Amino acid sequence: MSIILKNATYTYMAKTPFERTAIKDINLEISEGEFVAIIGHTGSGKSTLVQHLNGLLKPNQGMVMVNGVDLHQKGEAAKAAKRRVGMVFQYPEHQLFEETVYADIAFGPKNLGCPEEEVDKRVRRAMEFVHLDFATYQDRSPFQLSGGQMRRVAIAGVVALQPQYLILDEPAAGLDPCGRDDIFTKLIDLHKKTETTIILVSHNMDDVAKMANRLIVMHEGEISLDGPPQEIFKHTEALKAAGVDVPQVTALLNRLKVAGLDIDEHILTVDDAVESIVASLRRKKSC
Amino acid sequence: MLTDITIGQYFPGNSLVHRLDPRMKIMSLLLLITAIFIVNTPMAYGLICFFTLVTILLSKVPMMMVIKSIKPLWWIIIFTVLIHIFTTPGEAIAKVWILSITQEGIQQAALMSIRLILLIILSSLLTFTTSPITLTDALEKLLTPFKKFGLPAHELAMMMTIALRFIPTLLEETERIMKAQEARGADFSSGSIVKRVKGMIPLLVPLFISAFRRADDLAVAMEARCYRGGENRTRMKVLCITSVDYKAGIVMIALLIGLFVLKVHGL
Amino acid sequence: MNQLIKVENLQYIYNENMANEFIALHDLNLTIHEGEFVAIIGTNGSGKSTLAKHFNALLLPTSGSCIIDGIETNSSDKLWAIRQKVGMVFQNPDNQIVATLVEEDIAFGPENLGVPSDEIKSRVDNALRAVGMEEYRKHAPHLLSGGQKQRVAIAGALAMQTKCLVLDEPTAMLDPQGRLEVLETVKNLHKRLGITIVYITHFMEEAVEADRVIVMKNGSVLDDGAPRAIFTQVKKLKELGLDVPLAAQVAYQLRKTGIKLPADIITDEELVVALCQSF
Repeated sequence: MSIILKNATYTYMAKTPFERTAIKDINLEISEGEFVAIIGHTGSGKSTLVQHLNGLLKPNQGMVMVNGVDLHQKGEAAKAAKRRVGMVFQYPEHQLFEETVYADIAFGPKNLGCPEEEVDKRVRRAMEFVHLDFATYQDRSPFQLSGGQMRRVAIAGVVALQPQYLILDEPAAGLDPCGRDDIFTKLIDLHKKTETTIILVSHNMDDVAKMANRLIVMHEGEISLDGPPQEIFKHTEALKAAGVDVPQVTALLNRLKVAGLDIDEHILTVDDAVESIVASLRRKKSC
Repeated sequence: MLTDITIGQYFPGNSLVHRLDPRMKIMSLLLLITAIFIVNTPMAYGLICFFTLVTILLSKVPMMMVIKSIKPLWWIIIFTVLIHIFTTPGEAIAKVWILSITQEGIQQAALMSIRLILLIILSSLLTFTTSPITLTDALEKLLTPFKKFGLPAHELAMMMTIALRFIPTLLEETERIMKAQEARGADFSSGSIVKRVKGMIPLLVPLFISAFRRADDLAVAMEARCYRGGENRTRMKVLCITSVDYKAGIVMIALLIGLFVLKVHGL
Repeated sequence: MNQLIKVENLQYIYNENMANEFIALHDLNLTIHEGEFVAIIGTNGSGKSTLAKHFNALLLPTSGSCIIDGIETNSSDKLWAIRQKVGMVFQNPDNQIVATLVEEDIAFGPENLGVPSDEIKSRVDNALRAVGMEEYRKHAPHLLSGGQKQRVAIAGALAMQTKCLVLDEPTAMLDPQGRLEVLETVKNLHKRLGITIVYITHFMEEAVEADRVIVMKNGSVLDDGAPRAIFTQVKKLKELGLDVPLAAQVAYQLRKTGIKLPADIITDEELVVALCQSF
């Protein structure tokens, strides 16, 4: 079970003076259960890439397969395969339209043709996942909620589709640190509990480094690096070329290492970093 | 793609036609359109066509672009031609099924299509050679005399500027919301008409909300920059009539006199 | 130093006397001097934006007063003088640009003020140069990047010859590249032109660059001081739901394990130096 991109190339406004190739000959496989982060600066092609994964864009060349089904073949199989992949766009609260929170979250499952009780079950589960109390919020208008709550309703609307693969494009953009941590905790939860494959698009290394077990760095429409976070951060030159920073923790540990401290610079969380610094200082003192 | 649509496209340049005062261009366009609907002889049309051709050459806008501007309205032209060919009474020269083609019909169809094509080409020449902002400026100036009758000239021009500024932004937004709802299983392209109209709600509601939010933000931003209507407002670029405009005016008058003479002599 | 912004016992209530009445600002006191670079931090709903809108008379106090360069914002006949002195830049770069050409947009403010045509031209030139956007003067705003749009918005305020720039989360919707662009532009304007800056942000690495940081909570000022004094209070900021610079946090946690470090570390550099000295 996986999503496969084979030699996928996509060009915007082909055959006009504004022609621009967004992704070039991409080969990629994302397997079930992974937590992938796609990183790159604006215009690197990351948003175009993920829109291929659920068939919103059709590659000019190459193919996209979900669980072995070509997304752009005719018939029901391709439709069903597309539904395996859920997509949360940037600022998803802008897509809310129903009168109540319940109705908005139910929109997706209803389109899938779920029976009434199944819709109800999914809405409850999705609201629980984003920590919105069902009794309090189900009949509220989504437009009277705070920005962070609206974002959660919108994400619940996609989670209720119960996709096997969930793509999120900058889900924390514009939120305050509280809201950001909140969303990321929920995602880690979802990944652990339901084994949903998570594909996170971001331009912020600090946010994703701790969560993802695989990083894909995009640069000028191509994949420049692909691997586990610790591996990726060794390639400082390639990262710099792609316009992506190493996480702040990595930067700090690198400086300490240069200054002569014996520490593991591949650590990604603050707590581990502190531990490593303490251990290294103890070693120094003891000898 | 939606973002491919270009409304009031501007072809940057510095030709003679670009440099003309926009008010001059708008007035000339209005006069020419009137003339096109009054005259009806091949001679007169020849004269207007010649004038149009010279203007295109002077504007240095590529001929391909001019021809392309007709494209979106191609169907209307064909439709008009067919209607005229088949419905004008007169001497039948051929019969197709129950419809007859008449000599007068062909003449009428040719006349109408030339009129339409000239109309489109001349109007696009105005937008090709005049930037949107100068165009709205000129409209504001031309409408100012009507302020006495309660016409909000400044407000109309400001609305037009803002509309031009936000069309691309809103088109982009439409595309994004469409994709987002499609990802939630919405279907915009199949089913009966009623179903399709209903299917538009998930697109239209967010779009309206977004447009209102943008309008709100913009109003605050404009207020913060001391906007208070057209009173006491100055402009960075002041429109001014130069000798080129006088010369162009003389050419226009000569053309109109020429057309008038042809009309009087029935040519 | 001249007091540019003086806020006294300011209270602001949204929807006063209605069912959904909401007190956004409580009895707030604050003075900002000419030439300062002040960052305001706080979670969503702490009243930052509401306060910022008072500086430009977009909102008027329910009670108390807000005085800008000696003029009370309540005096409606001086409204335009106040707005000319304090320029605003908002969060969404798309929703504050009015015109279809960069230079026309920058001219919008001076045009409203009734500045003569020739002077507008020179002001637009200067403003474009100050934000480094000269080569984009004939571009359509919707084709620019987020960071560039915000720089155009800043130039629009500069062209009104404002004394003070109030930026309300100008980088919240930008990518790292755009954030850097905007911050550098703002720092530059503060240093070169001596413009007073009020910078609202969620990003601590931006707030650290200011001379003074104000922390807001529930509509009042919780803390006010130099970045070093504010950001070393790691526990307090974390409880508020705010970020702290990484170095400050690591130093705080190291101190808890018993390692002796100076109490005022906020940059990586300082932490590295301090740690090297401790062994």
